[in-house]
Amino acid sequence: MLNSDSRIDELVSLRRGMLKFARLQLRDDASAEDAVQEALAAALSGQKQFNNRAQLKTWVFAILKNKIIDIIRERTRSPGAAIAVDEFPEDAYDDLFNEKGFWLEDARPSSWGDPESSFSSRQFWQVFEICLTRLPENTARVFMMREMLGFETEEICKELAISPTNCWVVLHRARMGLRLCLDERWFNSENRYAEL
Amino acid sequence: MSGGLIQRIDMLNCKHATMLMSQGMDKKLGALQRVNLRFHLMMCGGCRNFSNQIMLLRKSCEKFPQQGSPIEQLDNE
Repeated sequence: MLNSDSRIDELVSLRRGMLKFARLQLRDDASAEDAVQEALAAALSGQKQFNNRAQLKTWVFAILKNKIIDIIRERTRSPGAAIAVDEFPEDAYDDLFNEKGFWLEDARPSSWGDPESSFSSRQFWQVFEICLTRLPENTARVFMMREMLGFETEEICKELAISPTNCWVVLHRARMGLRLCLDERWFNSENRYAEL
Repeated sequence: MSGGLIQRIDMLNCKHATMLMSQGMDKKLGALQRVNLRFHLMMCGGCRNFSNQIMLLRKSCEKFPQQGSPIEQLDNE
C-alpha cells in the first residue's frame, strides 16, 4: 500500500509525463498546465487507496483525460472553432495501390508477428510518439480525440465543426499514416534500435 | 439478382476495403458493406494484416497515456 508521502513522490514523478500528454492533446501550454494541476489536486485529495505505482498511474491519467476532455468541450463552445482538416493531399496514399486499387507488391501490409510483445519495450513507445507527432497537427488532434480520449465521431464533428465525411477521411488518413510509420520504423525495420 | 451481388462484391478493391475497415472502427457498417468486406478479407492477406494493424493502433492508443513521455524519460536517464 502506498502511504501519502510516497503517493506525493509518485505524483511528482508522473507530472512530467502528464504534462507532455496534455500538451500533445491540447497544443497549448497554459491549458495543459491547468489540466495537469487540476488532475494532481484531485489525485491528492482523493481517499482512494493504491497498492502500487501502476494503479496510481492508471487512475491519475484517467483523471487527466477527463480534465482534457472538459477543456476541449469548453473550448469549442465558443463559435468559429472550425479547423482545417485538409492537411493531407487528396491522393496522399494513392501510391500504395495500383491503378485498380489493389496493394502494390511492396506496399502490401505484411504481418507484424506478435505486436503486443512490443508494449513492454520503451523504444517502441518512443517510436509510437515520434510517429504520432509526425502526423499533421489537426489530423493528429482528430485521431487522438477519437482513440485516446474516446470521443465518438459525431461529437468530434460537432466540437470541431467539420462534416462527418471529413471526420472519417481524416481518421482514415491518420491510421494510414501511423500504420505506415510504425511499419517502417518498428515492425518491419531491420534495425529497430539504431534508427532512433 | 445474385449476379448483381457478385458484381458488387467484385468491385471492392484494397483501397476501398481499407477505407471501410477504418470506417468500421468509428461506426457500424451497412449489411452490404460488411458482406463485401468479409468477402474481400477472405481473399486478401494484405488487407487482413491491415485490419489487425489498425486494431493494434487502437490498443496502443489506449496504453499510450500511461507511458508518460518515453522520449523525455530516456533523456533524463
